[in-house]
Order: sequence, then C-alpha cells, then structure tokens
Amino acid sequence: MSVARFDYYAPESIEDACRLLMEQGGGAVVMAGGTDILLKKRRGLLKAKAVIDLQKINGMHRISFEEEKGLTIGAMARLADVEVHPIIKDKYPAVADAARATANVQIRNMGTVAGNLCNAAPSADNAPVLIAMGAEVTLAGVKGQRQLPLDEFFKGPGLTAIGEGEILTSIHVPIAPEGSGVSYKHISPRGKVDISAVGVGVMLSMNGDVCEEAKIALGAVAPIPMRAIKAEKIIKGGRISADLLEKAGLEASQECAPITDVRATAEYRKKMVAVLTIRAIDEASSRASQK
Amino acid sequence: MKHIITMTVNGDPCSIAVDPWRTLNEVLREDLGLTGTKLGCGEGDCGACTVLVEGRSVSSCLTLAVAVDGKDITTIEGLALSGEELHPIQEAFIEKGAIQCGFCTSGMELSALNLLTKNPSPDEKEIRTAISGNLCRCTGYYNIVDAIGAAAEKMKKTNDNN
Amino acid sequence: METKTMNEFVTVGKNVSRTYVRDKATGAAIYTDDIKLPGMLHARMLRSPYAHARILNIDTSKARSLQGVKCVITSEDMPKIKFGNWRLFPDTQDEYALAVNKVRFIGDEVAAVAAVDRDTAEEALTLIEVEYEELQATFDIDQSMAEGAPILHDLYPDNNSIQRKVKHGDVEQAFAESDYVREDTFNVHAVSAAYMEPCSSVAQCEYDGKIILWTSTQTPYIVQCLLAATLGMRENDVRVIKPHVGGGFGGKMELRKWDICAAFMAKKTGKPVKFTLTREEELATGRRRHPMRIYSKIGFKKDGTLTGKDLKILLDGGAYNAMGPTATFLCGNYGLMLYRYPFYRFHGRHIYTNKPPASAIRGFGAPQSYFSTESQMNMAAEDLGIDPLDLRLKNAVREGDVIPELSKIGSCGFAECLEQVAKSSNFREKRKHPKKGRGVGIGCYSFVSGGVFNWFNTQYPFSAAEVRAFKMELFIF
Repeated sequence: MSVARFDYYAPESIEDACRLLMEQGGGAVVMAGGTDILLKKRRGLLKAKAVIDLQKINGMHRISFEEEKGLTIGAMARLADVEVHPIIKDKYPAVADAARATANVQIRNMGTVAGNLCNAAPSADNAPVLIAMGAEVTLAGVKGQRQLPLDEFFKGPGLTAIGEGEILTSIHVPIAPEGSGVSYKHISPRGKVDISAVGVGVMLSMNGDVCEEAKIALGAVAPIPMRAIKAEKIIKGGRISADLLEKAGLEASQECAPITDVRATAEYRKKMVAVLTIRAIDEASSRASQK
Repeated sequence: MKHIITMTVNGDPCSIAVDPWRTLNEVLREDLGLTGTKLGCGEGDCGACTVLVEGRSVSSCLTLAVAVDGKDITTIEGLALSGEELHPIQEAFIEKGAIQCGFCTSGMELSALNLLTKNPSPDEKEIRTAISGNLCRCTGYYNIVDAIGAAAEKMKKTNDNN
Repeated sequence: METKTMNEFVTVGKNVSRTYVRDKATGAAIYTDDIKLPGMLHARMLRSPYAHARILNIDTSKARSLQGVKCVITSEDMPKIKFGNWRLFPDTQDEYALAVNKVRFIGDEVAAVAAVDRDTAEEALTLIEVEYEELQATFDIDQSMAEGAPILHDLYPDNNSIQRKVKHGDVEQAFAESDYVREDTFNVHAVSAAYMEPCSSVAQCEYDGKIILWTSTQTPYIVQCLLAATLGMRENDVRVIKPHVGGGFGGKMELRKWDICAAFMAKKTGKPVKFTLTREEELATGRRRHPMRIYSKIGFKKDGTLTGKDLKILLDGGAYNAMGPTATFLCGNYGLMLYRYPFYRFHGRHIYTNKPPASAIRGFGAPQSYFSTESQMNMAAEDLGIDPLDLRLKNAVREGDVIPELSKIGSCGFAECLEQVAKSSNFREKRKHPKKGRGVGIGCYSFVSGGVFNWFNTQYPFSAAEVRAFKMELFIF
C-alpha cells in the first residue's frame, strides 16, 4: 500500500480556501474534523495531493439560531457541540440525537455534521433527520455561493452534488413548523460506537392528533439516504394509531433497498426499518404533542 | 515540505518540524518520546490513542499533527509522572483494580478526565457512554467504571477542600 | 511457633496492588513498540495476496534501491530451518521464517524490509516483485479432505497433520446398554484474541554477535530456545526480554516470524530492527482459535447416569500447525473432564486449510469441546425430564476419580460449586417457574493448571531462581 503524502493548507478565509481548491485542480480534499480523511489515508484510499483545513476560517465553528430564519450549523461545528447545544436540544432535539448517535466520543469531539454529510456514506447518521426537516446546505465557490436542498445533495455512496472548487460552508435548518415533532432512531451491532446498520429520521407536523405533514428519511438502507415517500403518504392526513404506524413501517421497509454487509443482512435491515419507523413516528408525535 | 508546528504539550511549549501527513500519534510517540499514548488500531475504533486537545478527548491516530498547531495537548504523562503524586483518576484506577495489561489505561484515564471535567457527578450510564470509545480486552470494564465513579468522588472532595 | 491471625497478616487476605501498576497508570510502562534505540530501523513484512501459490521468483532490487531502505530479505537469505512449538516432535514443526517455495494463506510472510522509517519500509513493500503461480486452495475441512484436494504440505498428503486417539472401555457396548443415546454435530467458528497491543519485536545484535530481542510475548523462554535454533545460534547467545505486554490470551505463545526476521536483519545491518504489526495484519493474518466440527454421541441410563461418549473432532487448523497439536490434544482431554464417563472414545484430527493458522487462544480446545459437552447435557436433560443442574450433579467428577490417560483428581469442588450455584441463583425454582421472556441456563467449564505434558525440552531450568526445600544449618560468625 502506497503511503499517502500530501501538502497541508489552513487558509484563513473561505475565498482563499476555494481558490486553493481550484488551483489544486481536483487534487485536494477539504478537511473539517478529518476523521474520515485520516481513515482513508490509513487504508491507502486517499489520492489527494493536498489537504485544505477549514479550522482557521472565522465563523466556521459557529452554531446560530434566528427566530425567523432557523438554525445554521457551520462546517466546523463539532458533533459533540451540536449534541449538547441548548437551542438544538430544545428546538431541534432529533438533530442533537443524530449527532450523539454518530460514531464514538472521540470522533464526535473531532468530527463535524458537515463532514458526515460530505463523506456521503449511505449510513450517515446526520442525514435522515436533516432531510426530514428540509435542511439546505450552502456551497461556496470561486464564483460565489449557492443553496442546495439536502435531499438533492446525495448522489451515490461517497458522492455528492458538490461542484468543482466548491466547499460546503454551512447547513441551514428551517424553523420547525408549529406543532411539529422530530425523531431519530437507529440501530447498530455495538450500539454506541459503530456505524449504523439502519437509521430513520422523522418529522411530523401535527394538528391535534391528525398528522398534516410527514417526512420520513431512511439511512443505510439504500445507496443514498432516502425519503420513504409512500410511507409518508400513509401517515399524512391520518390519525396516529398503532395500526397506521404499522402500515407506515411496513411500507417504508418495502420502499428501501438495503444490502447485506458486515453490519447486517438485507432482511434484517428491512425488518428494522419497519420497527424503527414506528418508533420514530411515535416519538415525533409525542414530542409534537408536548409543544 | 515539513511544517513547523508549535504546541503546548502537558504544559510545556514544543516546537517541531513535521511532514504534513504525519499523525499526532506518530509525532507524540516517535518524535517527542511520549510513549504513554498507545496505538491499538489506527482507525479511531479502539481508543488506545486517546489524548486531549484543548481539553477534549480525541483519537490521536486520526489527527494530523499539523492540524494541532497552536493547540494545547494533554497526554497521559500530563496527569502525573510515576514518581509524583498521582491524579485522583490514576489513584482510583489503581485502587479499584482497573488495570490489567495496561494498554487501554492511558486512553481510559483521559476519557475519564474528559468526562469528569464536563460532568463531575456522572451516573453509571454516563460513565459507560464516556468510555464507549475505549476498548479493553482484559478487565470486562466493571472495575474501570467503578474507578471512574471513585475518581469523581475523590475529585469532588479535592475541590471541596480547595 | 506462634501462628498469626488474619488481622496480623500483611499480604495474605489483603487487597494488594499489583506491581508495575503505577507505571501503567502513568503511561510510564514500556511496551515493545515504545522502545526506541539509536539507529533503529523499522521493518515490515511482505505478505502473500494468494491463499495458495508457488513462488516462482522474487525480485527485491527496486526495493533495495529505494532511499532509506537498509535491508531486504527473503528465505533465500536465511538458514532454512523449520520451527514450531512442539520441538520434541520435529515433524510438527512446519514453519519457516519466510516462505520457502510456497505460500499457504493470504498473509503468509514472503519477504521483509528494514528501513529508516515505517513509511519508507511500507513504500519498499510495494516495490518488491513476486511472481506467483496460483494453486487451487482449500478453505474448509471438507475441501481439504476431499478426493484430489490440493496438498498444503508434502509431508501430509491427506492434509491431516495431527491425530489423537483415546480409548477407554468399550463405547459400543456402552451405547447398547444405554436407555437414551443422542448424536449431535456442533460447529464452532474462529475467534481472534484481539489483544489491545499488536505484536511487536525489537532485535539488537551485540558486537559479539549475540542477540537481544524484546518482544511482546507470553513465553520468552520458548522464543529464546526456538529463535536460537532457527538462527543456528547457541541458546545462551540469545537473550529474550519480555517488556510489558498488552494482552496475549494465548495468542502470543510462540516464536513468530518477525522475531526471527528482526534478529536476522539486526545481525545483517548491525542496527536494531523493530517490527510492529498493524491491527489489519493481526485480524486478517494473525493467530485465532481453532474452528472445529465436533461430532459427539453420548449415552445415558434413564436415571441420568452417563454411560459413555464417542467424540470425533475435526480441527480447521489453517495453513500451519502452530499450536494445533496442543489444541488437538486438549479438546480430547476436555471431552471427558467434568463428568464420569465409564466409556470414552476420542478421535481428533487437525486438518490443514489455506487460511491463517489457528493456535492457542484462551482454552485452545477446551471452549469448543465444552460447548459440545454442555449443550448435549442440556438437551439430554430436557429429553430425560431431569433438571440440567441435577443431571450434572449426578455425573460430576469427584475427589479420587481417575480421568483416563490424564490424571487422578486430588481435590475437587465441582459438586459443591454446583450446589452453591443452585442455591444462590435459585436455579431450580427459576426453571420450574420461568417468567415470560426470561430463562436461566447453566454451562460448566474446567481447565488444567500448569503443564499438560512435555512437548518442549530444554536443558536449562526455566527460572531465575529455584527454591529447594531441605534442612540447613546456619553458622553465624
């Protein structure tokens, strides 16, 4: 295995970072926490000639909330900080849950939500809830910046819609609708430290006990984190009941396309999608009713 | 081309030239002679390489040395040297029989420090979560969990006395 | 003489800290990879990508000319001396320091490089060109034993390197006289020791050609004796130092190839040489516990008394014997430990497969064997309508019993343990009235302390001090 050798840059502005990225002509990787990049390096899968570290760029670590606009998570905001942030825990509890569900303590102290999304593993723990909540990412390039809805971001295992010379600078999550609740449920062989075998993120907008809007996103059971559109249709407009939940769970498990790998078989994943969808809807509706 | 990085390691300033691709684990162990930090897997799975960067526990095997330029690093050697008065966490690990082969110990103690700095009164579940990124193949974890609970008590007493 | 009471003892009955624990708590304890010697070279192994192949040619020239590389070796450079733990049975010693003519599993060591740093050594591995002729490989016991199966070692054309038979009494008669007989086949998979500290060795050659080897091992004396033999040296000229070891669990009980290569390259270069394995190497190519196929037939009288056992075990040994002979021996022993078997027959066969060698891991032979024994006891208990704990009590070995071909039992608390366990867990009650979704089960285990039998010889006492008890008269001047 060839040893990875590369240059390292820590630019102090996003403009410098984008310029450097363009100059490297596709030979550079952008680094936030670095946990996925170092793993690739270890396994001889890092082909980059340069690493561009975002940590010195002002404001990249910021987590901010505005009443009208919603939540903004900077690209360098660590999973550990998202996990305990009081506003996120209060208004976006499942975003905190998803951050807590990612990897282990040490990785969360280094890794970022942005990095988890950009690595684009089908099992990315932070993707399902953010998709369910209609999140958007901001991509900055030499020509300016653009917004992209998260459910258009993933293109395949390890592949994203980030264009040449672009850097994801922040994730934006809109204000959760009145009377809504969110949940993230996941399962993995070791429970606390490993990559999820199945993840389900749900956002419900409730009017009394009628569900007005439902978003269900599944992780680790398709080439990309996916919306379970048919399952959403079953819940939408209906009254939350054990029967309805069971139907939705079953539909979600039929919509997904998991593979068998070291973490679980396809059959087990399908079963767990049904179980976790039910649990996530249950928790989301319960959180909605608490508001 | 090598980068010159300047860090504070266990309270001491340290300036060293490193190739950009070297990990913090390699630099600590090979260049700085701080072999108390171990390498168990190189993939951030086992926790044997845990050190504190700016007070937070991280996997040094997944950290580029150049990325900690200007930062505060604490390794196991920063808790106490064996001839000195031990840190309450180290005392507790010894008293509770939490050390067998010792290879996971540095990582475990630093993860414990990371926890107790943020949460001085953890319950058992919180302790187990705090060390969930540290594997031990010898003890079965019970004594380690006990030790961290005991360390929390010791540290509270010390703080009360101060 | 005055006898001391418990309260007066300083060590007995007291909670005493382990030695060295302070060093471990402070990170001061030195493990092999922590050792750094002046001029030390870092070494890496080149491993076979094929499960079974002939080595046609190895070209190390490009690796040698990489800047920073100080030594590249293959089996051609080294004395071709086989090694293995059972040196009283030289036919079982089937490993060379580096592959000779053939590789037999993915990961089999083919060449070694020593360079100024680890990255350079790693780079050098990619420059070694090996021409292989791939051979058909076998990956399980059945493939290895099939007609026309590829032969891994010429000495064993049927791929069966070790056999052990035990016969005690007439097993067929025992079954004929039984009220209940059952036959089961159990399959046990491989298990890695997964010690936290990967294997590591540092070798230094002294000015007079003597070797000092620091190595992460549980058995420094075995390493010393076998290393001396493979290098054609006198045992006294090889000094093996065991630093702190980060776990072994049986997986570090042998001379390993990097011990030999480190010593050899240290001699060749005049510089200390260090090998440390990566976790990938450990998991993919390291020792593991033997997978086994266990066929067991047991008989009982209707009151639960055991009449006999017929045990056939096939060990999936991997590509080399390693400590397979011991595992083969032990799984047969443990087939009849714990309980009184009036009749017993065992046939164990160690089969080569093109996989990493299985060896000693925590019990090596016992856990697998007991899995079969204990599962059968539970299943038989159910069929016989006898409480599984009581079935065990009925048949438990007791003080004074003789275990055929093994030993006499001098003292035994097994039955007492069973009674105590029954009482403190409320076992019988829980079994009679189980709660929904809950169960309670029992499994028992036994092992030997100390040596099993002599497979290793040395003319030196394996100790730093000997305690001889005899009367002595002291003259004080």
